[in-house]
Amino acid sequence: MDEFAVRLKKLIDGLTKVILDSLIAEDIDQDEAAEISRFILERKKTITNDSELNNFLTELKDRYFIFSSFLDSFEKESQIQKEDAQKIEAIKSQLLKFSQ
Amino acid sequence: MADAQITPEVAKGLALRLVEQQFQTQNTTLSSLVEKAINVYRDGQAEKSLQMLAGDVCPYTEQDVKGVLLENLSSQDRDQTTRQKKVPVVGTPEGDRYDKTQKVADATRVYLESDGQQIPSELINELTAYVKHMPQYRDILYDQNGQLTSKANELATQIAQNLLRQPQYRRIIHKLFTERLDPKKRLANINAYEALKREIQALETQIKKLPEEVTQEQINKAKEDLEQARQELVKVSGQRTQLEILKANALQDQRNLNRLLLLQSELEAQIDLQFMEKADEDLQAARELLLATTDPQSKNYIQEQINQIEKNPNYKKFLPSYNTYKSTQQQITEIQSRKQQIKDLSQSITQAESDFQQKKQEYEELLRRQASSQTSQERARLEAELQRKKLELHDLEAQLIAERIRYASDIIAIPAEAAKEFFNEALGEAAKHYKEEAKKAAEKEKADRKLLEEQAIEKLGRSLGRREKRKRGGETVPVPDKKEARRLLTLLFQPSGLQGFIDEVAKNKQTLMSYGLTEEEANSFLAKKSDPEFVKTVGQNLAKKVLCDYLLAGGRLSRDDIFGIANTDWGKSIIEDGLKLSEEQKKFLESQLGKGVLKTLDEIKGGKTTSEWLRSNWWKIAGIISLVILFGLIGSSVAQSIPGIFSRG
Repeated sequence: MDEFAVRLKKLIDGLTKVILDSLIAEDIDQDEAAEISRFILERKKTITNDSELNNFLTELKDRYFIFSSFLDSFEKESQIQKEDAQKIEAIKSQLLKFSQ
Repeated sequence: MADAQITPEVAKGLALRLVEQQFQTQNTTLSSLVEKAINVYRDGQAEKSLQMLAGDVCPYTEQDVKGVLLENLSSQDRDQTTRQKKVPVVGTPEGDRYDKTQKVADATRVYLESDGQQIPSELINELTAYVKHMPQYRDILYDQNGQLTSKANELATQIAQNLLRQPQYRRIIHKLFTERLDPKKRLANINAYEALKREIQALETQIKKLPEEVTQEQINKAKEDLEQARQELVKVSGQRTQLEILKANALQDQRNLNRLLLLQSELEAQIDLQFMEKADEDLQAARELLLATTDPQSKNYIQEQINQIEKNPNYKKFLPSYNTYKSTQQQITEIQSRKQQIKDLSQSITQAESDFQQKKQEYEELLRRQASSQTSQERARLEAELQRKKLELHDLEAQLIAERIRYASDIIAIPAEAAKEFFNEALGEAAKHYKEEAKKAAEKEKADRKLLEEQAIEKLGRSLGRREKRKRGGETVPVPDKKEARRLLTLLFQPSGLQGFIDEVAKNKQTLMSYGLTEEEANSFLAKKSDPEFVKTVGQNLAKKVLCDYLLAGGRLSRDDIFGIANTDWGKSIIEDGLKLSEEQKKFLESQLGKGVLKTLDEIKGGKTTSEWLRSNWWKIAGIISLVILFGLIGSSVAQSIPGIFSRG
């Protein structure tokens, strides 16, 4: 499983937990949970890259209030991971230059 | 790099994190669907959990479905091993109901589990039957005589299959199925029914444990038994003396017995007992024979035999001892017989006494129980309670059966209800669209009608009480027509007032068209002429115009006219409007010319009250009203020119 797929799976896990938590807390009812789940499952099939994923997250946040805090932290985490990856890449290239 | 240390803070963080990960479910009653979705999520299958919630995956197993159906449709006892209710008896209404429901439920489960790929025949059949009754398909399934066409079955089946392939239809079925076959679902009355059943069982046990009730028959019988025992005791009491005598000699008897037994054994050693007993027997037999025989020859022979035995030397030798032996033996027998007698008497007396005591106790116990009515009262109370509870149970049972029937119908109807909901949703969208369209059309129609009404009123206002006058350039303008205005004014003074005036003006389409209205405008006016609000508003405005035209055309108002105006609502309104405008104009002129300039009108009254003054100066007020009205109606146009006239510049 590539990094993107792992991230997507993690996101789906998190979203599912948010839906279940909201059901338990009675923030949403079963019909709403069904609608949200259908939306996620349908959209998941169409997401193939980061840009589509970001669009999906924005849309999700706009449509369903229950995800706002989860998506904020998910995005923050993704951002940190991305920055870390960039830094590692930069260090790697510097090391490569140094060795040359 | 050093390994991360598990400090107390880190441990606390980890613990909190772990706690946060748990679902806080203990205080919430969740549906089975949500519970199943949580379990699947916990197993690491988040997507499947979502699919369950979305209605794409059937959350219940075959066992779940069977379990909930048995719980809610069977009245049988529970299996001791599985604790599940037993399947209803085949061939009974309950059995048939369960069987049918089970088939439909399982078919639906298979359909949902396969994501709509497998469509069991039970499901198609149920839906086909419903489709045949749907009004939407009436035209294609029935002929003109209201009979199903030859292809109706085939068509209805096709429609059912198509419906079953619709994702939205499947979702509706999923929703109904998960609601109605929730493994936790129980009939409303089942708990109350089972609790009552347990109460009845407990009561029955309690009643069984109560002591038997004493009847008079039992008492009589016990009394008889006691009497019998008493008589038996009396009978044996007579033997008590005999026993005492026997007991008194018992010691001596025992001593004698010991002695005799000793003697007997000594004698047995001395004599040939076998020989003597044989000889004795033979002698006895011979003597008996001798007595019985009459024949002298035989008698002689027998006597000879007897003599022969008696002359036997051994016999002679042992005879004295043998006789002693025989007598000892007899005494021993007598003593032993007395001992046995003591034993038998003692036993029968003890037995009789014991029987008597037992019967006495039984009799007394029965009497005591009969005397105490506690048991029978308690029994009566418990039995009444039992009866009441049995009636309650009977009622509950009836309700439970009704609930079971309803529940079975709810399950069997899932395919049909889903179809109904599916069509309602689809038609609901269409209905919403048409409703909005209709609303827009109604609003437009209303606006158009309003416009037509306004145009009609405006045209009437321009031509009512007027006539066409051709100007020099050939142009025609409407000018006040005194005669026509007077005719209309007379109508206004009639008791029918504004309504009569409007009825005359808008007598029919032709009348209105004669005032220059188009056919459409005339129709719109006619449609409103019975509306009191319309008559009041439009009538008042038109009446003002007519009055104004009349005065402008040089018409004069009589005393009656003035009182007529003052007495009508429209007239009062004209006066109020006129006075208001006049006051405004007066204020304007005063501001232009200085205070007190326009007091002439007030001075005309000469200090009298208005009513007195009106009565004596009706002709003056007619002129004032005319002025006021004129000022009011045409005041605004005149006033615009006044500043110019009175300007000081």
